[in-house]
This record gives sequence, structure tokens and C-alpha cells, in this order.
Amino acid sequence: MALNSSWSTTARNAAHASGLTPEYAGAKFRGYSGTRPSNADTALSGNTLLFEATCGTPAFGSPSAGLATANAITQDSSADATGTCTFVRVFKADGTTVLEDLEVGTTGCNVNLSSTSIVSGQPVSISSWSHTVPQSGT
Amino acid sequence: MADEPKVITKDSLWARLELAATVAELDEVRADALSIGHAEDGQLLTRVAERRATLEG
Repeated sequence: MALNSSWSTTARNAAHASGLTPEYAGAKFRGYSGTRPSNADTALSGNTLLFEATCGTPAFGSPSAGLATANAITQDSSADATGTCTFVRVFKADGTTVLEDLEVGTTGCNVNLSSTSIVSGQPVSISSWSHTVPQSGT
Repeated sequence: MADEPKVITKDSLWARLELAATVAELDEVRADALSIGHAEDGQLLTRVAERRATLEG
């Protein structure tokens, strides 16, 4: 016996369109320095907020094959602090409800920045971001 | 009647900061800013400290 489910493309797209996309409307995309919490349900601890960008409403375009690409994300025109961005925590539009944590780097990560070195007062923009509902689960 | 859900975003904090008329209001902004990871020497909390100094005369 095992847990081994497989989602159809129809179900994956529906999960995006009906479940995730509304939750992410106007979501806050916050970059932090410091050690990334073990998961998105773990509170921040000793992390410094560097910047806050804002997702669109709706946050994503129409999903295809379980993948949705974010609509334009409004940049942070002036980073709050200087530091090395180690992860992004995405909050609902209220800025207090955590949705997910994302890996940050300059290539091959969930969020790719031109540089992870954030400078106070400088603009920070997210050029693209896509989100996938996986085919296999438990 | 249930309380409105609290909203803590960069824009809302800056707006509250500039509208604050008392030290207590500034202290509330400071507490909310710290709760989402704002640095003591970051732009927002530096401005809070400036406004606090002004209000305290």
C-alpha cells in the first residue's frame, strides 16, 4: 500500500485558476536576509526585510499544463535595507498571511534576481515568476 | 462585530507613519514594522525615529 496520486492537467489548471490565483491577488513578495525558515508555516526569526514587491490582480495568467506565469509584479522603488537576499516569503495582500517561501538566486531558482545584494534606497524588480502545480502528489 | 483583519504592508506602514500624530501611534507602526522584519536602521524605522523625535520636541 502506498500514497501515490497523479493529477490530470485539467485538475492542475483548475487548482491554479480556482484555488491559487485568487489567493495571490495583490500578494506581497518580500525579500529577506538571514536563514530561511524550515517551511512556510515557521515564523521569521532574525530575518531582515529588504524589499517588498506587489503581485498583480489577478496575480497569474491562464494556467497551462499546471503552470501559471505571473502577471506584472510592481517593483519596490526603494529597498528598505541593505543585505543579501536569501529567500522570498510571499504573503496575501493583507501582508500578514503567509502563502509560500521561495528560493532566491541569480539563476535556476524560483526567483532569479540580477543580484542578490540588495541596496537600501535602490529599486528591486521581479522580471518574471511562474508557479507550477505538480502532476504527482501523495 | 468581528474586527477588521489587520493589514501590514509597506504602503500602509508609510501612510500610517506620515499620518501619526502621537508617539503611541508611531510606536504601533514601529511594532508592526518589526513584526514583518523591518530593520531598526532601515528606511522606515529610521523615519519613525525621526518623526518620534519631532513629536517629543
